[in-house]
Amino acid sequence: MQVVLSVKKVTKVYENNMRALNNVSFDVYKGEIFSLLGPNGAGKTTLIKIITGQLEPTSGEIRILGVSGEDLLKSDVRLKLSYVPQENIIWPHLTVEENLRLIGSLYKIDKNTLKNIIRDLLEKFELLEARRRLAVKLSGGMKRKLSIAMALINDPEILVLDEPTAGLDPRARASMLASLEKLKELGKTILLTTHIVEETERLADRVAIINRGEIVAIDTPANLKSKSCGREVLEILFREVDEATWRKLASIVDEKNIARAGDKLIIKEDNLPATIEKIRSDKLLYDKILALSIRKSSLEDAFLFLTGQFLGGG
Amino acid sequence: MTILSIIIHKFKSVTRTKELYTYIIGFPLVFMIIYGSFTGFAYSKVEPIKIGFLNNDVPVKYTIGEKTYQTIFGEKFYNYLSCLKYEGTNTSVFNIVNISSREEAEQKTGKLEVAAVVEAPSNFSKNVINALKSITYLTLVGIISNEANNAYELGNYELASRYWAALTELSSFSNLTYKIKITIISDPTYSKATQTYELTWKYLINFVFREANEFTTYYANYLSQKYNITININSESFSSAMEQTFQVEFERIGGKEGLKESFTKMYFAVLVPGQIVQSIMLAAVSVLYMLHRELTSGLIERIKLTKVSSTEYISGIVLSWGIIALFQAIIMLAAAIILGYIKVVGSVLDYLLSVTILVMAGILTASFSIIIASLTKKEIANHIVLMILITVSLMIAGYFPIQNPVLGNLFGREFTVMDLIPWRSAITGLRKSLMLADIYSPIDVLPDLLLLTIWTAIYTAISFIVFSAKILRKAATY
Repeated sequence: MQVVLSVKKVTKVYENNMRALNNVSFDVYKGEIFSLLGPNGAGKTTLIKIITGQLEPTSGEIRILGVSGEDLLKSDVRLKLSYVPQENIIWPHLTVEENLRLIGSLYKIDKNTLKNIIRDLLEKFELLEARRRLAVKLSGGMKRKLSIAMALINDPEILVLDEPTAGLDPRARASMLASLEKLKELGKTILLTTHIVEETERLADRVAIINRGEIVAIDTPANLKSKSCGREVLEILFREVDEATWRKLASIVDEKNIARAGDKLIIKEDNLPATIEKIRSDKLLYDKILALSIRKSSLEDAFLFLTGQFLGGG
Repeated sequence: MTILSIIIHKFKSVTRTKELYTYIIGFPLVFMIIYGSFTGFAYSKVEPIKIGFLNNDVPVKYTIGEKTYQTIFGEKFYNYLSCLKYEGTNTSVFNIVNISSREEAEQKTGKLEVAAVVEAPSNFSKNVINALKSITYLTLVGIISNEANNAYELGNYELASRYWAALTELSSFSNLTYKIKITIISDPTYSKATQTYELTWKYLINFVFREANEFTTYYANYLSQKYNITININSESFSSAMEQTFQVEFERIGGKEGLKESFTKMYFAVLVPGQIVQSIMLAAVSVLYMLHRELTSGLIERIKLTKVSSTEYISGIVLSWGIIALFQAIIMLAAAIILGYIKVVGSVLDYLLSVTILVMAGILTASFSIIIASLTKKEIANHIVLMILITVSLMIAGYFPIQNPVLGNLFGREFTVMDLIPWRSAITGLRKSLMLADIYSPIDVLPDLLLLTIWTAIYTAISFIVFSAKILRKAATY
């Protein structure tokens, strides 16, 4: 598989000595959706800014389509990468069509080609009817679609999306995910950051779990789940997880197989029904349980077992 | 195409951002209306303008027939100005003090003890007498020639020969060169100085007209007696000779209402250009607002990823604001005309110069704003810039008399302390091209335009450097 984006040992230490990224490395392959999954403050946006050339790394290297360093600045390769940040990057007092036309002219696309591209993007992102509306008057979802359409105006090979569904209502979010799936079908390479596991599970071919500036694991969503917590997990919601409760539970289940998120405990075991029976038979534990269920494992669970932290995403 | 696209879209963006109208049009219009009302009230009462008179003139001798005369026209002009009264009142137009030297003149105008000092140069009398002779020649040559031809056609050869003899004597007044010059020493940002300037020009022409009338009549009588001929001077032939000689239009101040109107007009000759340029300066806040929005919304970061160069992008910004400045100026001018503050007097070239000046001022403002936006991305910069620009614009727009020492001479014009504020040359240029086009020729505007161009070039160059380095700079290494 062709590597289109390579991040090599990137470290970023800010002036206040805050280490935002520590020795981050991964490759993104052509045509895949690669997701950076991590909680807020994990270093995702810093990494995106370094990849898009807005921020200089303290050390390390970014290679886009095999080009890096000074050569990247000089060559047109950087134009093969487009970026959509968390905020909607649009000119609010221009219409949808004018926004696309202006960004197209900044990419120096000739007038006739640009006309066709705009038409195509308006259709693809269901913005045709709204093309003469001022961007400021669009809904949040439409603004985000316009922002992504603008990023696609020069037909980039790599699209970098920072939290593409942030701030969208459920309907707009669903529509956005559908649009991204369309892009995937068109063979675009997409690097996206998110803290929402459902999005990653639905869209991503591979996921890099990032926490406190470090990559914890990289794999497909299915592999990450199966390797870190198996296909199914036991989720127990306790009234309260005190010292005694925890000690009792640890006598039944290996501590390594328990992850805690407040009063909710996630347990991974080969034989979950047997584990449930053991817990039920303990009166102390049984009396404190509010809810108990066996369910399919998620990336959230994987994240919890890999980092010991709750991701806290939708 | 890229620059054009940026200009078009920036222009659209600004015109659709209604909150910016306050700065671009609202404030300046309110200023104009309030100040206009104040001025109308302030000039309902006429009072003398205190000026100085520096007479460097030396006596001139001239001969008519066998008699030799000696006069100092500088003194006559002084007396003429001293006796001028506002029509229908006993109020003098000028309250004149004698000035003995150039240094005293500069000192008194610098301290605003006098609105201006009128200086008659040493060759004033010489030039005036040459002007009088020339006007007399132009007035009489046609009349006498006609009379000679008529007498010849009627067969009265003896009378015709006397007319021809008179014509021969008159021909000594032909081909005389002269340039009547009066220097006004004053601070042009002081409104009364400009009033003095315009009034002195008009009264100088009136004075020469009056003297010429007297001289021509006297000389015609002399020729009539000497050659026993009849010379009938009609006012038409005289005024046509005046037009050929001066080619300066002027209007007489007539009646109190007319006087008030004329004063208001003169006052606005100072104020209106200042207000128009002030409106363009205040647009800097709008430029900063737009730039700040682009910086904080991430638009600049996206622009960095495109093919557009810093030069193209900044050119697009400054040129779009140049066009916006033009629209501002048109609205302000239309308002000033509707409110009756100005009379349209200029030629097409004057208007072209005015337009160039205004566009240049717009570019200058945009460049200034880009520099500020590049140095600080904080929103408070907008408020600081607004405060600075309001203060500076009030200083240079001519609202108040402020001392303005001369630092030197540049392109044939005085370079003053105020000229260190880049927009001032736009104001002085506009005064000449837009408001006082009946006094100044387009060539007189060029030094101001040149100075404005230099300031604009400097500021634009700095804006290119800082915006490229601070804002559009891509990461040095990946």
